[in-house]
Amino acid sequence: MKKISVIMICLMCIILNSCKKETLPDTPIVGLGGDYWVPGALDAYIKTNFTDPLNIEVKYKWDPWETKYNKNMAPVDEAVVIPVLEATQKIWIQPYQKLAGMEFMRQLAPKQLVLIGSAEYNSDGTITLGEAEGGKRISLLVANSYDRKNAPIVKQMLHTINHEFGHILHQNINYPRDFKKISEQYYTSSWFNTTNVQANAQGLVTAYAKVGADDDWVETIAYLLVEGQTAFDAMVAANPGYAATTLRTKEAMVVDYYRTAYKIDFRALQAEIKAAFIAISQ
Amino acid sequence: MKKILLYGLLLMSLGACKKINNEPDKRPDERLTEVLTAYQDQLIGSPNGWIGYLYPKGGGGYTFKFKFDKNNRVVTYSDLKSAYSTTPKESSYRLRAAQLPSLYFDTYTYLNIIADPDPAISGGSATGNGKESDFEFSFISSSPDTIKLLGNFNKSDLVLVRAQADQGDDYISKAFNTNLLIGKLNTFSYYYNLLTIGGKKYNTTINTSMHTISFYYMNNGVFTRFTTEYATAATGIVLRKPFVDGEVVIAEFHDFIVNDATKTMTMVAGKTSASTTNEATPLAIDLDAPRRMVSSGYAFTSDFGFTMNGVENAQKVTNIPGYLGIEYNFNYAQGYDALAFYYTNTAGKVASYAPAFLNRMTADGKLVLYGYAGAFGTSPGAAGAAIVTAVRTQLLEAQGYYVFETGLNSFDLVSVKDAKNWIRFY
Repeated sequence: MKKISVIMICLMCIILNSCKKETLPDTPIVGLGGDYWVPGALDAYIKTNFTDPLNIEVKYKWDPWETKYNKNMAPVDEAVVIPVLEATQKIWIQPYQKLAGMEFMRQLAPKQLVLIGSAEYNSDGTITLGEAEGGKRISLLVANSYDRKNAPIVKQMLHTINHEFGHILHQNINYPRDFKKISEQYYTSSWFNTTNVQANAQGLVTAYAKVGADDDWVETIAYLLVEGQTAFDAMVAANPGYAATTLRTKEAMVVDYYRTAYKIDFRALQAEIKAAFIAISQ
Repeated sequence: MKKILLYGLLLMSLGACKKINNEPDKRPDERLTEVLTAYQDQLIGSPNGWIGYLYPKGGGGYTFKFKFDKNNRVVTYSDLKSAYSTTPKESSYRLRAAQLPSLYFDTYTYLNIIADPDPAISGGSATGNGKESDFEFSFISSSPDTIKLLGNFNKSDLVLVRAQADQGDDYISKAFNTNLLIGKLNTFSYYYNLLTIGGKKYNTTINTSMHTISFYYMNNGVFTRFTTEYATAATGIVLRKPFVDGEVVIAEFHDFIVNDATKTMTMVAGKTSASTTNEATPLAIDLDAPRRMVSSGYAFTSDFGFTMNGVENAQKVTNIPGYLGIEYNFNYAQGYDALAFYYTNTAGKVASYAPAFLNRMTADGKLVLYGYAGAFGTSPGAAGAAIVTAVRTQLLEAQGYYVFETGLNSFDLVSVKDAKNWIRFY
C-alpha cells in the first residue's frame, strides 16, 4: 500500500511538471530564417521583376554555401546585376511568356538564380561558367565580365539557362523514348575528351551532349534556341552524311515535342529569342 | 583521523549542495544575434570609418579605408591603384553567424580584386587562387579602437583600426603617395641602398608592389635577412612586425625626405633618425637565395622587366604589341627555364613567347642563366621579338645575378657585373 502511494506521489509530480507551460520564441533561429540586410534598389528590382511575378529568388550577395566552398571565387559586382537580369528576362523569360503564357513560366521556371562574379577554376585547368542543380537552382558564373555587346558571353549565359530549363521541361513531360537510342553509342562520362567539332561529326551539338540522353536532349534545345537555327544549319552543312541526318532527326523531335507537350511553336520561339538577342546587343 | 575524514566528507557534501544555475539566461541564437548586432554597431559607430590593413596569405600588405553604414552599405578606398585611392566604391556588407561571427564583403569591391581568381584581375596564379586573400572574415578580437579579423577561406589577416578625425577621405590617397615616395628608393642608380640607423648599417629593399620591406646584413659573419609587410599611412609606413637587431628597433618610419641629386633619403624611426645612401656593392650576399628561388616551383611574374640606372621598364617591354606581362618558370620543360612574355595577338587571343635557357648556381651565391636554346611559343612580331631578345640578353649575362628575397615568393635579381641593372619577380 505504502509503495503505491509513493509511486502515486511520483506520478503526480511528473504530471504536474509536464503541465508547465513553455513559451517558444517566435523569431527564427539565426541563420535559419534566411539572411537579413536592409533592402536596397537592387532588391526592389528583383522583387518586382522576378520574385513577385515568377516566384524566383535571385541571390546576388555572396554566400559561400551556394558555390563550391573549396574554390577561390569573387562575388558579383552590383553594377552588373541589373544588366545580367535584364538579359535573362528579355531573352529567356519573355519569349516563353509570350508563346506559352505567364502561368507556364510561373510553374516551371527554376526557383533560384545565383549570381557569382568570377568563374570557377578547376584543377584540370578548365573553368566552369555555369551550374545548375536539380531543376531548382541555376548559378550564373563570370557575371562580372558580362557585357551586353559581347555576344559570346551573353550566349554562353543564356545557353546555361536554356539548358537547365530544358531539364525541367523534360522532367515534367518526358521526351520521346526513341531519342534515347539515337546517339546511344556516343554517350560517355569522359565527354570532356571530345571537342565540340568531334561531337558535331558524331551527330551531337556539343561535347557536353555526350554526357547522356538527357543532356543531349537539352543541349539540342539550348543550341537551337541560343546559338540559333543559322548556326545549327551551318553545323549540319559542315557534317554531311550520318551526322547531318542525326542532327536533323533530333531537331525534328525537339520541334515536335514543344508542339505536342507544351503547345509551343518552337520556330516562333526561336524567332522571338533571336530578336531579343539583337535588341539586347544594341 | 576518522573524524577528520568525516568532517572532510561533511564539508564536501555541503559544497555539493551549492546551487549552480546551469540554465542560460538566453537562448544561444539570441546571444548570437546580440553579438552580431554589437559588432555591427561598432563598425557603424566610427564616424570617420575604419582603416583596414590586409595581409593576405599570399603575401604583401594593403591599406583600405572602410565606412560602414546601417543600411549594410560600405564605402571603400584602397591603395591598390591611384584611382582607387581617390575614387570610392560603394558595395554591400553583412554580418553573419558562420562558425564564428563573420563579416562578409558580399558584393564586389576593391578588397575582392586581390582575391579574384582571374589572374588578369588579381595578378595571382593561373590556377585561379588569386593572391590567396579573403573577403569573408571572422571576428577574432575587438577593442573599441581595433578589430582583428581572420579570413574564413585563406586565413588572411585583416586589422581594422578606428579612423581618427584627421584621417579623412583623402587618407588613402595620402597613403598611396607615401608608397610612391618611398618607391623613390628604387629609382636611384644602383640597386643597393644602405640604411644607417643607430650606428648600424643594413641593405634595405622596399618592394612597393608587394608592400614589403627587407633588411639584409651580416650578423656575426652570418647572412641575416628580415622581411616584413608594411602598411602605408599618411606620413609614413608601419611595419607589420618590428625589426629588432640588438638596440635597433624599427616599428615604423615617418618623415621621409628624398634627395634625388645625392640619391639619399632620410627618415625617422620612432625618435631615431635614419638615412640611406645608394651603393654599387652589396653589404651582404644571400648565398642560399638562388636555391630557394629555383626550387620554389612558383611561376614568378614581372610587370616591367629590368630596371636600369633607376629607370623602370628600361627596355620598354610594354611596347611589345598587346603586352600583358612576363612570367618566369624555372625548369619549365625538358630541363629548360622559360621566360614567357604574354601578349594579346592580332586575333585577340592570349599568346606567349618564351625564350628557353638553363640555370646554375655558384658557391658564391650567384644565379647564372646560360645556354639559350630558342623559344617556346609564337613570336610577337619582329619589333616585339627584338625587345624579348634584349631582355633575354641582359638576363643571360655571363657573370650572373645576386638574388635577394623581398617577401613570400618574391625575389630580386641584381646584376653582379653592374648593380644598376636589376629585375623584380613576384
